Amino acid sequence: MKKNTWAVVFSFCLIAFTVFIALDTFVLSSVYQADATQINTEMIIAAKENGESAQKESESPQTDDTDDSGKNGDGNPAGGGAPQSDAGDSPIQQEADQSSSPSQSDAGDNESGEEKGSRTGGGPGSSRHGKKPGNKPGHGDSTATTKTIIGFDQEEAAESAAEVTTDNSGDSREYKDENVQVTYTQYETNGTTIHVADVRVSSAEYLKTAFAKGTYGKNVTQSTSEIAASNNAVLAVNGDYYGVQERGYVIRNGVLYREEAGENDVLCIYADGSMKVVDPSTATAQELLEQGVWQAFSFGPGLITDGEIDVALNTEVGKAKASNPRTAIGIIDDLHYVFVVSDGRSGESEGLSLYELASFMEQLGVQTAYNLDGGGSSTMVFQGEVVNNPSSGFRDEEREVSDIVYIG
Amino acid sequence: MFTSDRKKAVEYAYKLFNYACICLTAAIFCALFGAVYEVFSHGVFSFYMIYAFAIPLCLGTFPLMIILLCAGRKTEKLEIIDLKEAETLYEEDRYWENSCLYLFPGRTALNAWFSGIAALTAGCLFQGVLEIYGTTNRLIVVYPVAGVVLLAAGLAAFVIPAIAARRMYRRSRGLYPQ
Repeated sequence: MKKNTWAVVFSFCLIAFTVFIALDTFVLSSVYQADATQINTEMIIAAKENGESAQKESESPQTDDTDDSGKNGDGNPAGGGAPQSDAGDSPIQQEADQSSSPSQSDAGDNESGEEKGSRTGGGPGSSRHGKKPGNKPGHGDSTATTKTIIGFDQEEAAESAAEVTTDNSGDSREYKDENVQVTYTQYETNGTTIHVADVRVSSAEYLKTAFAKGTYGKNVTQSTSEIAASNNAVLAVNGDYYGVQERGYVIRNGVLYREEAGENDVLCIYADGSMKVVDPSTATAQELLEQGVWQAFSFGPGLITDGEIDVALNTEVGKAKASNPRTAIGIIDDLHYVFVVSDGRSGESEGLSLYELASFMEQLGVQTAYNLDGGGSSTMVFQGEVVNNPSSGFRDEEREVSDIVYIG
Repeated sequence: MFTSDRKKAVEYAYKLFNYACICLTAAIFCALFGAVYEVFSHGVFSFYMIYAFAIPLCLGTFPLMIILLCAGRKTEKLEIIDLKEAETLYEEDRYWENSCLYLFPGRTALNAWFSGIAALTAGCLFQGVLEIYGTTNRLIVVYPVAGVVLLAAGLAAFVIPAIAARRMYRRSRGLYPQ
């Protein structure tokens, strides 16, 4: 026994330390800030005032303010270019435009029969609206296909062989009120179901985030649907799962929670509604906050920048291989966003690679897109109902996550 | 060397051979663990998990086999030493080990070396788990630090006395090192 004393003692210490570090990583929760539900409304007010003053300045000389491809006067980058609604667009883009409900200026022309400002039932299994997103303003019929099979660009995605079929099952829903308009549509491509929520808001303050249990901390998790229900979200997707990372900027609703820079690019959503992917080495979290960043996510990578795909065919998150469930967020136009969640890891849906996801969002007309936490975390909740098919480990149920992005 | 010494040398060589086999078994286990873990990780992989088997293999099995090969040849060429002449200086085990210190690592060196291998291997596997899960933990740095320190200690515990013993042994020219 004396000969083996060292071996026994060292083995015990090694096992004990391994168990401790495993518990610390996966089980033990640490609350860094309880009741982390603050919303920095001053940032929104300041952004609105800046926007109004910029508008007043532009009203004197008759300038064409429809081209939003450059930066605006206060240095904040515009979130995206004008929507690609030309006649020469691909059928996918035309379909996306048709599925996008009009902005608030056209709301009065909607003949869907819905009352303006009405709110649908929020419980699961709530009935769908009669209006189908294929309607254009002023057109009463709903003949547009709402569930379309899309093929990718064969020249660039050599590995992604397009399988094109059509389905007129009409799986689309909409929510609309005076400040928020959400149109949910399902797509099928390459054996994967993709859930797309087209969102138009009157102000960036309606694009919010929330922590699990309203608490900022490590290993504090809750399902996306529960967090969404707690915050009365119309639409919610999982966030960047900041809780499993020890670094990476965390700015939520205009409040800075973590200023340690990570390795991944940061998605910045500004108070004026614009969106930009930022390298964390170029600016500190405090600087971003002072620039008016409303939300900051650290996961990545950025999928699309200025309308161009920003990932290579073999780009992956960490060491993940191609087909996985994905969650992504993008901006099409001013205050016009798109949330994309794809299924995967199941017999019905293979999943998407990052390039396939970027290619799909490019065809939706997205100008800036960013990848959020995928895999088992990918969840989309619309009007209180989980609309995708989460795959978490061996169970087909929601994975608990640390934060969500929601509209409400 | 006396017959008993040669017998002890052979026994010690077998012990080292057993250690080499244990390291080889650990390497096979790490390889299988990594392969099985990757099957259930939905295609997510980690190089730490994949190549964790290389640590016990390259730091355990291979060096021990090299020592056995080299020591085996040298043991046969050792001069016979009068044990009684040196019993006032060393205990029997230490005497025997000292006479072959530059051939075989001692118990202290082996304990430290294998502990370093264990720490590095455990750290490599756990880092692979973290990478596949997509998270990090600052405490993971303890593994490589402890592993390197223990490996260095084991190497020092082998090399320094071995060099000293080799010098003394050569100086004695057949007598037990004084």
